Amino acid sequence: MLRLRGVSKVYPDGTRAVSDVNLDVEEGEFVVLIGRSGCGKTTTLKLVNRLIEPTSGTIYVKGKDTRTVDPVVLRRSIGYVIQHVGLFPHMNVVDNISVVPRLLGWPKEKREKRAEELLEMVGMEPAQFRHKYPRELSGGQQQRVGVLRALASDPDLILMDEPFGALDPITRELLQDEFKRLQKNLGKTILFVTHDIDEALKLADRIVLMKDGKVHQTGTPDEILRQPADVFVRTFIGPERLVRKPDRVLVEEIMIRTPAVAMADDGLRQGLEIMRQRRTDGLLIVDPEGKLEGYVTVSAVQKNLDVASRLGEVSKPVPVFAIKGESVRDAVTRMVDHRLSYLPVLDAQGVLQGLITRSSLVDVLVEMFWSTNNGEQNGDQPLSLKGGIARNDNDKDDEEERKGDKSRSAGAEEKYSPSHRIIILDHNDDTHSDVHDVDDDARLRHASGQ
Amino acid sequence: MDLLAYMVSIGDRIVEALIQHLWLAGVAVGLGTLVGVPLGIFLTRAERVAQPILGFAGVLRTIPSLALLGFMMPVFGIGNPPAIAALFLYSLLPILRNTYTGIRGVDPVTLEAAKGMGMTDRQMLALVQLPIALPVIMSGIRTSTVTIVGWATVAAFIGGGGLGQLIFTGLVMNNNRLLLAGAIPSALLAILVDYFLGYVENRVTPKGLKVQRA
Repeated sequence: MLRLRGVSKVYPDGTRAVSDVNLDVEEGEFVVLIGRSGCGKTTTLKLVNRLIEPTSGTIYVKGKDTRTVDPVVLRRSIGYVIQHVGLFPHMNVVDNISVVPRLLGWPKEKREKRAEELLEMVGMEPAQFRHKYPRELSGGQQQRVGVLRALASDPDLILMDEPFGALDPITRELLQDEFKRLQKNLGKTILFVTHDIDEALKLADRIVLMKDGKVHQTGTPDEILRQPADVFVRTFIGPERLVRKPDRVLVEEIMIRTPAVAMADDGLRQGLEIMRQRRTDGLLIVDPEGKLEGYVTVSAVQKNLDVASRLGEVSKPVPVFAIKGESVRDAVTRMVDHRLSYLPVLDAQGVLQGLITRSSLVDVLVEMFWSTNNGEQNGDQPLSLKGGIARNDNDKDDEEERKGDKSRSAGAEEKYSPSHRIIILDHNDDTHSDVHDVDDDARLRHASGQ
Repeated sequence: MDLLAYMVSIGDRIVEALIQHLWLAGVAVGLGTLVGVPLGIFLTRAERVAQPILGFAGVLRTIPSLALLGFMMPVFGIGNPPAIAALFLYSLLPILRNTYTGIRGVDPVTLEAAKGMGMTDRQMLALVQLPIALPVIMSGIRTSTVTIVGWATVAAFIGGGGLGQLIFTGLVMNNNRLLLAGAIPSALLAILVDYFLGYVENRVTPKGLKVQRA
């Protein structure tokens, strides 16, 4: 339906608004372009209907190079919805909806019939609304009319630039639902720009995350959530969204990475001292390679202080454990089944990776319910919740995945220090980015001489 | 009563002068509109020359009316032509400026929508910009007309017709009744024209824009 090949837009002042973008949108697909202000998402959209001309690259709409089509003809064949609606204030609802059909020379009766049909589709009684002027409509009604206006001539492709951005949250949700349903029923192809990740996750068949004029990551909402390409994407999605699905949280993300351990050859007194320092009532026994051999409890050590000298003599084998890459849900099920208060986490070779305790589970719950902004954590329990959350425990290539995971989690742990979170919150400040978008648009308009 | 009887007695002269007066003002404002509106539209598309031209039109308006009439005489001689030329120049500025600001005042978002939907420049002008700017343009024409109806009386000084002739003659002959027979109708005319054009302005304002004001 829509293909962008190596499309770039460089302004005379040297600003690279869009740089070498390749994008395919299939028929009936709902693709959302998302990114911060100034990432080139709106420019990309406007390149499609030639409101902005690309500096290089080619755009194909239904297989046709757009440069070979008269821009006016092209625009009439593509629906266009903008954030501030831009209804014509001097025209009533029906006339507003009928603008493109009018430009296309439809007879009056056909135009009006179509407008009424569309109004009914979104539950706006034609008799009540047809003669109203934009000023007499609520914001939600105006934007509905704005969407209908884009649908009027039944275009296959519709471009939408933050269409629901200016609405209050409740109306926005309503219109999103309504529109998603409409889109599925009508089978329209949509290219949709937003900076709102929730909107993108909700509406998109596919999300195209843009950064600095380039496509940064593309994928279904699920893919983006599961496999954010890097810290930028994770930050953009927001850690609180990543943790929301408990069955996707992996054991290594919530485990204590430095559980209290000792070796089998350590003495009992030494073991007690470690427990005292770590304030635990047990120790995991590992061999020099870090493989888990067993565990000792404080009571077993104290009971045998006189009869045994090595911890190995009083240790017991660990009955159950979790393997790295497992979901927390599975691990918790096992803990409950065996009435355990903790569960060691091993890798495939049996090397101890960490420990899940009841208190670390509580931390997860806290994180989930209170999001991350008040992320109080135990200082000695680096909770790497946001690490590589988007991992799937069903992945076939276990070995490879786990290795990759190890490095990823380790890196993420560092990056999500509490101080970093403040920055994340800043990014999600909607008002902030709205202001920028406006500036941005004005600049673009100016630069393209409109 | 005396004055009224006098005015009735020279009714023919007054009506003739009135018609001439209207004709003078009408032609001047008509020309002003014919030139001012298209020029105003042109200026919105040629920003670089817009400010100099608007400035020049503003300067024209600051020239005292008698002086401007004087300037016209060497070119157009005496009688109606120089009067019309001077009045036309006066009428130009409000029409020009209102057309320019009216069209410029259309919300850029509306224009983006119009363009994005596939309107040509001409369609944007005819279907969006002009209808939205029409009340403002009309108000310019109204201001212009009312002023010109007043100033047309001065045309008599350079031999033009109109109610000014009665006033002028009355002054010269020290005939107050004649003077008033010209002054009163011209004042009434200005008020009536203002009222009438106010009505027209209201009529041409798109309904959707009136709602906004309420």
